[in-house]
Amino acid sequence: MTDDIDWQLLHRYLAHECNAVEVREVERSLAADPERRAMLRSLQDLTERARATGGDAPPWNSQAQWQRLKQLMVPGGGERAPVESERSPQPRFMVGRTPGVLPRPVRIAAAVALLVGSGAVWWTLQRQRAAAPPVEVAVREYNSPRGQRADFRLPDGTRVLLGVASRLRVRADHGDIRRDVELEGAAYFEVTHDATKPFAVHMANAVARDLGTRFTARAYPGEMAAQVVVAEGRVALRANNGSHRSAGGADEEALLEVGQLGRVDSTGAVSVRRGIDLGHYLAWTEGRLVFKDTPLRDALPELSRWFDLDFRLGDTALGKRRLTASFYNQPNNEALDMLAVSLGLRHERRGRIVTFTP
Amino acid sequence: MTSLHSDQRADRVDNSAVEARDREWLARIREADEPAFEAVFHAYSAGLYRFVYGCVGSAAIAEELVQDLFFKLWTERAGGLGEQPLRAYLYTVARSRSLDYLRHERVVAKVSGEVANAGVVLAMGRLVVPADERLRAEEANAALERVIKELPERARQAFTLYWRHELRYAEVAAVMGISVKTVENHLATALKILRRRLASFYQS
Repeated sequence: MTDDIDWQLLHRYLAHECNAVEVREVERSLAADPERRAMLRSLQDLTERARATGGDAPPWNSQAQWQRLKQLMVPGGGERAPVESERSPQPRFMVGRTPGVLPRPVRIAAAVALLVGSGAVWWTLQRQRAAAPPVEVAVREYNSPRGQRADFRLPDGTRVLLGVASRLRVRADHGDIRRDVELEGAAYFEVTHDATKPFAVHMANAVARDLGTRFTARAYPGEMAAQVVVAEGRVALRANNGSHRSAGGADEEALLEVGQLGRVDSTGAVSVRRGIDLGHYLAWTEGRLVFKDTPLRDALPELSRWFDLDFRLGDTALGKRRLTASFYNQPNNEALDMLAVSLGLRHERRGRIVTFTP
Repeated sequence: MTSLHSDQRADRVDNSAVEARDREWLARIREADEPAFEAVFHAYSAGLYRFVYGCVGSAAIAEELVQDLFFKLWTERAGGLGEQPLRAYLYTVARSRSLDYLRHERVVAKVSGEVANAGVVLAMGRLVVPADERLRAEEANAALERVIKELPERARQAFTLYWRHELRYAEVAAVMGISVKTVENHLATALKILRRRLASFYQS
């Protein structure tokens, strides 16, 4: 009986999508065959059941979900509690923050854009390859805005914590043969070890090659030097544009180990500092902003990015003042008061602009 | 035998009313009318969530993807729609985001889960069906759910989009990016497999 069934016709019949001719045809074959009638009844039961049951998804509380969404629709963003990720490598995309509250370690955000076929040119920073025409490769871009960080995993399982106001570009074929990413801003990486597929972070003037590690890389536009700090394992660091060559002609590459900070300055010179305070350099990955004896002039851009405010000095001479402070979770107002007190200055806030004066 | 055909058409005939309502909401969303956007949210979010859940298998991820989808709809003032009707657009985006997510997920784990389930369904198929009607209905639902999950993915999508999400053939085609003919193929496949796997529940 089942051999000659036109299932497409049968589905159309069940779906009431048959024309008059088809209806007659189906009903004629049904009238002639009690087994077919029984089967039709079972199919009707089946599709009715499918329609009536919604699947076994956990319930969706529309009101509660609307409230969650609504908060994000306010200019400046709202809060959305981080989703508890399951025990498997999954990207966590969490959006939003409560206005006036510092980003907490778990309240972090990312906007992900997939740039495909739009002429996105990979390797914009790779001047060494200027000879070859730029290759168009599909690229996935992770962005964190000012005031927010992001936490996600790459296709190869590498965990990335993206700092405030940062951007990471990852090729769509990441992990197939190579693992190169392009960073602007700051990021912390926990790299899945795979010696056959080297993981490298390309910054404007530096390249950090992972050798089985956890490390941070930092190269904000406007900063004098790229910085890499190793939390575990080793990283090889070199200049990006090959303009700095040692007498031997090879690119100078520094091998960084735990507790070491590598810097590549704008001339491409690589230097290594040993015995640094790891906690200080990794503090941001835990949601803490830490300054130790930092000249205010240098601290301002960082404060601006972290709080998503615009810090200014009423008097440029103030730039020499040193800042030692640690921020974690205070509301913006408190943080500003703390800042002013520790600097011995007054502050005035108008909208997003905060000006320090003596 | 009375024709079963025409008397149940009412639920599908309502479609033109739904589409008119959607067009009205869409126009208002373009003017940043929040109550209209909220109405769209309440009308469609649950269905989209269930659909995404069916694709990705995780409530947390489904929730996230749906929230993102609506957030984008609002911030773009429905700019991404062009001429598309709202419902088809929403499901198209939901589906493509589910696929994006799955592409970067360990699909292997999901597949082996499905293989494990297959054994259970076969066992259920051979159970002696109890006389108690309510129990029978629950078992039938549970079995149906399992078999739906184990359908070939495209057949599953087409089938659930049509029966659970009230999309029409043309909309299913638009959402899945295939022709109506191919949709019919998938639906036929789904029906055939469902009938075969659930036959034991219908033996008289």
